Amino acid sequence: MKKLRGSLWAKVFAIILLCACALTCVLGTLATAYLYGEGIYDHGYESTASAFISQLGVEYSNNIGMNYFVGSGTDFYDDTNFRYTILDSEGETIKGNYEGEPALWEDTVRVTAPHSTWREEETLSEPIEAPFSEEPVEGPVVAVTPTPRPVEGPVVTVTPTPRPAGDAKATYILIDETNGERHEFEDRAGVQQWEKEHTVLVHGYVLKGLPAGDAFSQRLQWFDHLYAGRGAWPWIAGASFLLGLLLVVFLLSAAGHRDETDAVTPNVVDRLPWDVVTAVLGFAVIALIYAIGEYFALNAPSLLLCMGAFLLAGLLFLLWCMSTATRLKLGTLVKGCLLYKLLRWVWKLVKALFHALGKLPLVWKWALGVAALAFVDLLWRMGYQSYGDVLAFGWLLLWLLIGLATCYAVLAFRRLRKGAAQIAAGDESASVDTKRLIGDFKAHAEDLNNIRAGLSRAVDERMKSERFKTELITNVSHDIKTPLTSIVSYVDLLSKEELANDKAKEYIEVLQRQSARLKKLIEDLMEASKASTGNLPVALTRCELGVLLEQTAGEYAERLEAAGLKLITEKPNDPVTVMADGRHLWRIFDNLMSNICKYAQSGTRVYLSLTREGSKAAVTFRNISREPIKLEGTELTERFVRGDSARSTEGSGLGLAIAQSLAQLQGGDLAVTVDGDLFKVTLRFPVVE
Amino acid sequence: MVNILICDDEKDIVAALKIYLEAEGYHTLSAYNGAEALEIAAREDVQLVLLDVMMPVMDGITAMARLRETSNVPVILLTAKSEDTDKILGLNVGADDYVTKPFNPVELLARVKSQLRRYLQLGGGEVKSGLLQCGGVSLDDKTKTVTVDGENVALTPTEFEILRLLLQHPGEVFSPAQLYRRVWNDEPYGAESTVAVHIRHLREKIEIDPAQPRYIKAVWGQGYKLEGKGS
Repeated sequence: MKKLRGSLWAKVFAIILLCACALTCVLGTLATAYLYGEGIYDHGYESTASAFISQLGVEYSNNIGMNYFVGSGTDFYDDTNFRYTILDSEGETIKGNYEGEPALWEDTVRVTAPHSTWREEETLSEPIEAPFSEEPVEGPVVAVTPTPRPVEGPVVTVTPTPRPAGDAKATYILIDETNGERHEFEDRAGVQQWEKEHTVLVHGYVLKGLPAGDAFSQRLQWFDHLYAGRGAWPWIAGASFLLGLLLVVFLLSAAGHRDETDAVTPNVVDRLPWDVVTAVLGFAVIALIYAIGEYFALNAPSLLLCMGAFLLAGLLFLLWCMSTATRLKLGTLVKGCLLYKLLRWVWKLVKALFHALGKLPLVWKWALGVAALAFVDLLWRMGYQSYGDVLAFGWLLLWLLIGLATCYAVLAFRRLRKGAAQIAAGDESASVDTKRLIGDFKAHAEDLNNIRAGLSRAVDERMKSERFKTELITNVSHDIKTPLTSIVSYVDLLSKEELANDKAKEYIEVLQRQSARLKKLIEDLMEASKASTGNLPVALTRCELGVLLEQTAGEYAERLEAAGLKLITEKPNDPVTVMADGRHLWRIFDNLMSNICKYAQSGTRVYLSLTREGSKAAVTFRNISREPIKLEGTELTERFVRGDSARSTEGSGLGLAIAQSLAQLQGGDLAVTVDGDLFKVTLRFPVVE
Repeated sequence: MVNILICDDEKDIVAALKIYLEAEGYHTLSAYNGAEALEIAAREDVQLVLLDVMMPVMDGITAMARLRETSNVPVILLTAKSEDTDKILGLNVGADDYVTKPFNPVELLARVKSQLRRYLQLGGGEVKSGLLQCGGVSLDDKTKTVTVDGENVALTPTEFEILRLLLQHPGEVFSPAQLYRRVWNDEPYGAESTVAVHIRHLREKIEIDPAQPRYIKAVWGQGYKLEGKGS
C-alpha cells in the first residue's frame, strides 16, 4: 500500500480510472434515470418504445401540417415509416397516405396556419407595435408535453391578450403568412373564427416493424441498446460510483506522499496559499459548470465538449481535495492561508502599535486618549447634522464606553489606594491584588508590592541586627564584668595598704572612682540595649503618679540638698493613676532626677509637676542647666549623647535614652525640650480611671 | 573556726576574696569549678559557700542543687548576670543570697557576716514575747531596740514606729499618706515626701545595699512594704 501510495504512476492511473469511472457512473445514472423516467420498469417494452419515438412522430406530424398550409407538398416522408391522414376541423379527411397498416405509434396533432395578429385602436391610424405579445408570433407554437402517455393532442395556442377595459373599440388585423393576405376583424370572435377555418388535424402513424431504415429505426435501435442493458445500468452506475469513491479515498490518502516513507512533501500547488487555491479552483469549477449549463445540447460535439468540461471540473475539484488533504496532513491548512498571514500581520501590527503606545509616558497616553475621544466626538457631531437618528444610538454607546472606562479607572485607583494605605500603616502582609489590572495600574500595583516586600525585608533585617546587637552587648558586658570585679577588689585592697606616698592614695581614689563609673556604664549599656529592643519583661499594674512623685522627692531629698537644689513638687488633689510597671517607671524617674542632680545649676529650683492633659497624665521635670546646652531636645534622647560635649562629668550618656525606651515600652512617651538654659522633660502616660 | 568555701573560675577573684575573708578571721577553702566545690564541701566542714554561677566543668546552679541534697549550708551566689530572672532562679534553687559582679567587697563581707550570724547564732531562734521579727530583722517593743542579723541598730523614734508598723503587717503595702496618718497621727497635707525620706533613712540603717533592699521595699507608685515572713 505504501509503495502504491508513493508511486506517481499509481496516482496517474488512479486518476485516469477515476475519470472513466465518473463517465461510466454518469452514463449509467443518466441511462437509468431516463429509462425510469420513461417508465420502462413499469410499462414494458411496447409502450415505452412508442413513447421513445413519440417526440419524433409529433415533429413529423407538425411538419406535414405546415407543409399542407404552405402548399409545398406533403410527400417527403413517404419513404420513411411515417404515415399520416389530414382532417379538417370538422373531422373530414382531406388527404393522407395511411392505409390501415398496424402502427407502433399514432397520435393527432392540431395545426393552425401560420399567421400574425395585431389589434389596432380606432383612434390611431398607425398600428401599435406588438401590443399584446413580446415579439411577433412566427408561426404556431406547438407545445408538446413529453409525457409517458400521449395526451389528447398538442394544443396550438395563439392568444392575443386584449387591452384592459376602457378601450371602446378596436380593430384586429390578421396577416396570413402562407400567402401574405390581410384580414380585418372587429372583435376576437372574428379572429377565432378565422383560426378555426384554417386549422387541420394531422393524424400521424409509425408503422409497426419499421420496415424502412430511417430516423425512427435508428432511434429504436438506440432504445433497444438502452433497453437491453436496463437491468445493468443501475449496477454499472453504482459499481463505478463505489470504485470512484475507493479511488478518491486512495488518492486522498496518497496525496503528498512521494516515496514509501510517511513523510509528506508538498508540491507546487500545496505551497500556494490555500484560500487562493480554493478561490481560483472554485472559480474555475463554477465557470465550467456554468459553461456546461449554457452550451449543453443534444448533439455529439456539444456533448463531447460538455463531457470534457465536466471531466476537467472534476479533475480540478480532485486537485483541490488532494491539496487540502496534503495540507491537513502537514497541518498547514490554516497557517498557509493568505488571509491567515494577512490577519496575523495585522495582529502583529496592532500589537506593536499597542506596545509602542504602552511605552509612551502616561501624560502622552492620556493626551492621545483624550484627543482620540475628541476626534470621534467631532465626527459624531458633524455626522449628527445629517444622520441624527442613526448616530444617537452610537452616541449612547460611546458614552457607555467612556463611563465604563472611568469606572474601571476609579475602581483600580481605589484598590491601589487601599493597598498603599495598608503598606503605609506598616501592614507587612498587605499586598495589592494585580488581578484584572492593566497597563500602568498593574505596573503601579506591582511597584507597591515590591515596596512592601522591600520594606518588610528591611524591617526584618533591622530587627535581626538589633537582636544581634543586644546579644553582643549582653555577652560582652558579662565578659567585661569578671575582670572588672578583680579590678574593683584589688583597687580596694590597695587602698587599704599602708602607703607612705600621698600621690599614690590620690591615684587609687581615681581608680576607685573610674572603676565605679565603668561598672555603671556597663550596667546602663545593657539596660539601654534591652529597653530599646523591648527585651525586658513588663508587668503593668496600677500606679499612682502622685505617690511616685512623693517617693521620688523623698529618695532624692538629700542628694538634691547636697547639690544645692530646691525641689518643688506640684500635683492635683485627686489621685492620677496610670498603668505601668513600677520598677521601670521608677527607673525613669531615677534617671531623670539623677541627671538633674548632676547637671542642674546649683542654687536654682527644680520643678517636678504632675498635671492632667485630657486623657493623659503628664509629669514634667524642669531645671536650669549648669552648662549651656547646644543640642536639640530630640538629639539628647539618642544613645551616648550628652549635653556637655566635654564628657568630663560622670554618666554614661544613656540615661535619657533608657528613660525614653522604658517609657515607650510601657505605652507612654517622653519628650525633651530645651529652651535656653531651661531643660524640660515631659513624661506622658494614658490615665486609667 | 569558720570555714568559707570560695568557688570561682577566676583565680584572681578567689585570691582577692581570700584576702578579705582571712582579714576578717575566717578560714577559707578554694575551688575553681562546681565539681571541685562539691568535693571539698563533702570532705570539709564548711559553714558558708561563695559560688560563681558561670563556671566550666560544672556551673554554680547545678553545684548548688547537688549541694542542697545533703546540706543546708548558706550559699551566696556571685553572678555576672543581673537580670531579675537569673536572681529568682538562683534563689529558688536554694541560694540564700546573691551579689552581682562587679561587686563591692565591703558589701559582700556584710552579706557574708549576715548569713553566718543567722546560720550560726540564730539557728534555733527561740522567739521572745514582744519581739517582732522578719528575716534577720528583729524589733523588741519593750526595750525599743532593733537588731539586724544580731547587731544592734540605732533608730530614731519615727523610724522605729515605721518599722514597727511594717513588721506588724508584713507584705502589706502602705501608701505614704497611710504611713503618715498611722505614724504621725496627723493628716499629711502634702507632707508625704517626709515619709519617703524617713523610709530611705531606715533602709540605709537596716539594709546592706539600700538600692537593692531585702526588707523594706518600695512599691513604686503605690507605697512601701516589708518583704519576707514575719513572726
